[in-house]
Amino acid sequence: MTARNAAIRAAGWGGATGLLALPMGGMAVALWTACSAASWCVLASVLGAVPSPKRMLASAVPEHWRLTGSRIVGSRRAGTFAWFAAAIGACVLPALLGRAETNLAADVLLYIILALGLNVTVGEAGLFDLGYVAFYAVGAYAYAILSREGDAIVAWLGCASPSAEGMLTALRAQGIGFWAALPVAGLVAAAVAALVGLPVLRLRGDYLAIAMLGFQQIVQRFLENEGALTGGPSGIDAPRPAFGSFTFRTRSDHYYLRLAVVAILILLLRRILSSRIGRAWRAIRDDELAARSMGIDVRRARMLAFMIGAFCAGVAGVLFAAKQNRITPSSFGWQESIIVLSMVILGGRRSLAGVILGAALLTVLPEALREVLRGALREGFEDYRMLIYGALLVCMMALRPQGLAGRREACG
Amino acid sequence: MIAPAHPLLSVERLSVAFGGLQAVSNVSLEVPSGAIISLIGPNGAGKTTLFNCVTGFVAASSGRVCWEGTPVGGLRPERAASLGMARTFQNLRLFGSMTCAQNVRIGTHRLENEGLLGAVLGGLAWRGRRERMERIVLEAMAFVGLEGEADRPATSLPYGLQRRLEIARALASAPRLLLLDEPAAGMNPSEKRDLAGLVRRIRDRGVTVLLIEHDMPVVMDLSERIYVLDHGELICEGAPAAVRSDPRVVEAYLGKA
Repeated sequence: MTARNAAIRAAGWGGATGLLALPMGGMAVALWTACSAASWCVLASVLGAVPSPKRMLASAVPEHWRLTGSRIVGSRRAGTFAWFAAAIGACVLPALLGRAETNLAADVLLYIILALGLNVTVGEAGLFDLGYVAFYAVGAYAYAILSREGDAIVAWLGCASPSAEGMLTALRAQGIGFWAALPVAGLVAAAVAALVGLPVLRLRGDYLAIAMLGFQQIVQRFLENEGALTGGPSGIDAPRPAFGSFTFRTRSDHYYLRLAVVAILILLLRRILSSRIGRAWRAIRDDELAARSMGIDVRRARMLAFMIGAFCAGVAGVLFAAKQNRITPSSFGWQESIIVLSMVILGGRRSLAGVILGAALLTVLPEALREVLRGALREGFEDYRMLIYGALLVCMMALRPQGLAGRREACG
Repeated sequence: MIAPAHPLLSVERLSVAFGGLQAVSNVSLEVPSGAIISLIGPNGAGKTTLFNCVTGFVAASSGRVCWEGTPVGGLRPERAASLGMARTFQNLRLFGSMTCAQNVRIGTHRLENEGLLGAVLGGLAWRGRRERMERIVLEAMAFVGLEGEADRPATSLPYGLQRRLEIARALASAPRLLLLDEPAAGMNPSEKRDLAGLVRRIRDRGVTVLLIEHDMPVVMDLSERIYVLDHGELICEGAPAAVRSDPRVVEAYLGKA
């Protein structure tokens, strides 16, 4: 596929999203949809439609750089600019939105983090994970517990060891703090994934899905019943993040905090996907036996994808807890896993832009439908919005089974 | 020159059984370093099973495989690759979603040790290594005669060239032993001649070759030593001339008079 084709397709989607948004009466919600989806598409189309830079680049780079093709050189440059444009669009967005819409936009960003992580597990490594939300819960609770409940940890562990006691006393006095908790909770989630993965990743396909569903249930029951540590069904408090004397309070504060995490995550994921690890995932998808004969350790590559996914979920959990202030086990039901999975599948597996689009669409659509349908045919018609939402999902999957921006795995 | 004490690969009284079927029984063979050794036999003789066992794809039911005189037990494909074995497949196994160069790039997987941290941090060392790896890729492609095809989708190549691409992918992993499973299958006589030349050039690069082949002229021309399998058993071994005239081999191929 040439850069021009990609650009035309991208422009098509940008245009379509914009058209969809227009009849909504210039609402801020529609604006958000259009901005998030179209800004990167439009720029890609502008850059991709001009053939000369691509050719110039192709002749300027040394021979061995052109291994992966001038095609990639061209479209990757256009892609970088598109990401850049999307970043600018996302930065100015809260200025254009009202309070409720900013809140929704912050939710979108949270789901983007979750979906980006699950895309690694499901899309890259082909691990059908239906218990993904368990890692989200682990991250959220890790933040809450490490921030506040040093006493509770001591009591729960029943540990009398002086060194652990001393460590936890320091923790109790200070709390781990939000900025340390962000990566630490991600690592805790990844460590939990490693422990679960050892037995569970021996399973494939539907068997793995059921096992992970079971794991999610275990985690949720644990959170409900281990009250001494987790606060039980009524939940646990999580502190607001602060930076020096600045505390993240408003919706747009949290929006920008999440936006920064999304940006870092996208940069990291793009690096990983174009590295030896990403190549190994792709080789395994294409032909597992051939990949193994080339020295790729399949079990290790899968485990890594599983842990990277869990890490993202753990980070998302911290951001969720930091905004909610109080988290309860009921936020981490299996339905959440299904929603995130839908975002990945509907947006398009293995395409970062597609996954982002899927997360934005599935989060915004129910709210947008409420506005659009209000008083549309008769009073209270917006109550039917979830019905229409479901019908839209069915239609989208029927029309584009590979997802909105999905790639069928073929080169050229 | 002093001959190395141990052959690069030796197979000792190896048996492989699938349920009640004895696919390979009690086969011993030796592949000295720097040689071209062939494994021939009628269809279903157990040649590919022996290959699969040596490269860790199937487990042996008895016997052992030694690498430079050291037994390697519980061999798995990725371990075989890390020892320095690379193989091609009887029914091509290219990575279908990738270009030719990307396919060969996977061959360099074992030459790198970049982990998650390296991938995330990147840096100058990373760029230098990438260039080095891509040079290996281009060199391997040129070696098999695929220069200029780097960006072409692998599966769009003609069949004969796909076989060469598989060889390039194996060579990119810098193997010490290359196992070729019927590389000449489906080729015309002139392609077969080219292939024989390629195999010889691979050996001249210092890569030992173990070859499964049906095509007698190719085998007789290339091999220093030939092992003949029939019904999973070794029926004959020796130099090409001796094997050609051995009555058991003639019988296995043509049937009893």
